[in-house]
Amino acid sequence: MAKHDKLILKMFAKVLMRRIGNIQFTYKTRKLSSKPRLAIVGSGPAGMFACNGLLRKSNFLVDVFEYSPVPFGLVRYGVAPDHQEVKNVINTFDAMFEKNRERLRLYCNVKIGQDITFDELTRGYDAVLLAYGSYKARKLGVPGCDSKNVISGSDFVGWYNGVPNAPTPDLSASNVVIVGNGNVALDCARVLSTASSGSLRISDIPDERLSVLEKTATKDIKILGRRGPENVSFTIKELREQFKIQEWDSKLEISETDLKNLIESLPKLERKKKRLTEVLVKNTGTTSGLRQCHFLFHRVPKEVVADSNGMVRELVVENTETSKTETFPCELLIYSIGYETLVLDGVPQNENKMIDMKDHCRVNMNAECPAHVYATGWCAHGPRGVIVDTQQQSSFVADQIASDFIHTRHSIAPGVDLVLNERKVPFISWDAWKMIDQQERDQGKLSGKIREKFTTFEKFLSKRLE
Amino acid sequence: MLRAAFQASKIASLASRPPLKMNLKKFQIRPISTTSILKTGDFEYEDPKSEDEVVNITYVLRDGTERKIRGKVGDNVMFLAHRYDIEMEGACEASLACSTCHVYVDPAFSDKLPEPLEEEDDMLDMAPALKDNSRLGCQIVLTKELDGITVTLPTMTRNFYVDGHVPKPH
Repeated sequence: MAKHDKLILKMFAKVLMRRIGNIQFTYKTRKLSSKPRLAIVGSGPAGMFACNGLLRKSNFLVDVFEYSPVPFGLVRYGVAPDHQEVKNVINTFDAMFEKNRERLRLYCNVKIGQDITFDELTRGYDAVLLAYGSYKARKLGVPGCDSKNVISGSDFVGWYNGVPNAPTPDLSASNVVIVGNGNVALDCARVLSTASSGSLRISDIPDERLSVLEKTATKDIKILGRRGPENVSFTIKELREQFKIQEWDSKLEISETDLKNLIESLPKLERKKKRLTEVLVKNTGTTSGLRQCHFLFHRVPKEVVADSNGMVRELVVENTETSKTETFPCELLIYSIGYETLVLDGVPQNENKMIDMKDHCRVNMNAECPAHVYATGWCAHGPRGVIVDTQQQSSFVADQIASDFIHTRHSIAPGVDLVLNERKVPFISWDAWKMIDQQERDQGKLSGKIREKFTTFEKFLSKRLE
Repeated sequence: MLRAAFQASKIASLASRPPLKMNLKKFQIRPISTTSILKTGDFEYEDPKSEDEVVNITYVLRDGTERKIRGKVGDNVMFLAHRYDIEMEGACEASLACSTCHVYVDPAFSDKLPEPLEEEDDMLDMAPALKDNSRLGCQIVLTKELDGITVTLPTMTRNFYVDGHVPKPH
């Protein structure tokens, strides 16, 4: 009995000591964080550009939380593998992290809403900046759209860019249909039509995925637009590229009326639209040859037809120009018709199911919320624009946050280290990422690639757990 | 596609940018092969060797203040801005893949610049608040003829991002 009591006492003392230890630790971290603290959710361009601005213009201590095990969001997982120069922006972010080691920390593989709640974040920081993008692809929503080998453009892009656990599409198809008239559709088409030439071999597509891609049998790609050619959301560089691909004949197959309208609209258009329209007009005609890419318009998907194994075989569309129903052979169907914003639990949502914004950058939180909450980038304003739009917006939001906190010199916000430790959330820090980065580059070098992207990070995670 | 390959190797060589100088060891992991001085920004960190080389340039910042810089012949306007901590982005590091270094060029000097390449025009199309005298900072290389040039960073207006307003789809 006495022995048992002793044991209990011992355990109690142990717990007590740990508690005291924790209190001291809390006290310590609080003392350390005399500067205001900011949490950024998302390490993509929106978050990182804002972060860069804030480190310049304020005295914030910044913690960046990233859902993926590795940083930089769409710069790593969205930018096309043959557009490596766009990824140069990572050098800016690299320099930012290295220069601000004592003020800036990275927590990759930490999922807000799972590992730590948004409410906990608002209690741990003086300000929270949401910059997590918008990543649910809008569904096609026609009968049969759940057939096998019907995938969203973002899933296809994610797959070839090395997103962990991305399902492998079947690329043995010779007929591919891509629904959507944005740059994702062009990226998918371009990657599919250049893969077999071997030109992507030096990029950063992971080897196992590249080998699938290079064996693609694609001979016919149809890019479908719901509306007319005047409504495309392509950017000019990407559009030009499709027409320049060797061994492929890419054309806009449009009606006389559409062509006439395009040409007649030219003098009235502003510069950007005008130059794009000129490229469209220049590339109209009928495709021929072994490999063809057709841009077709006024086609509204009606039904996906699958074979007995559930594999997609045909896409039925309505041609709204002729009011006729058409059937396209299709063994791989990629749709890229926009994204839906995901609103984190605890973040107010408006009637459009987007984050409820009070103004251009403040989230409409209730009065009790202990932190100022901001949002920038695609999660705030929808998935529109290219990197320069995001950069401008984020730098503007950074100015705003900095000026809101210009008189805040001290803070007692504790951060969330304690919670993360308590829950044993394995995360990847900046230093751990630099190690991964180095290993990816080293491994890539062996086969003449820019890097060999890893697609599993368990070994790096487990190290953090020890 | 060969061009893409070439560009990729070029990117690999862009690794040792001057702002990273202090951490050079860390960044030497990227192979440095065909380093073109004009494109890495190292050159801009050298002071003019003589008065003959000096090209004076004024940057008008987003808040309207002016920064007068003593540049030199051959300096790239974007990398030069970086040297002096002028808030001009350069996301793609002068590889004509973005328009974050967009500036307005003093009309008196616009004609003294070489015509933009198609690639530059394509990128300028994406620049918010484009004007007739818009150029990419990374494509302007200082010459003696440009002495006294003024470049203005575009101001970001709140109107661009008011609630409910979304930038036009690309």
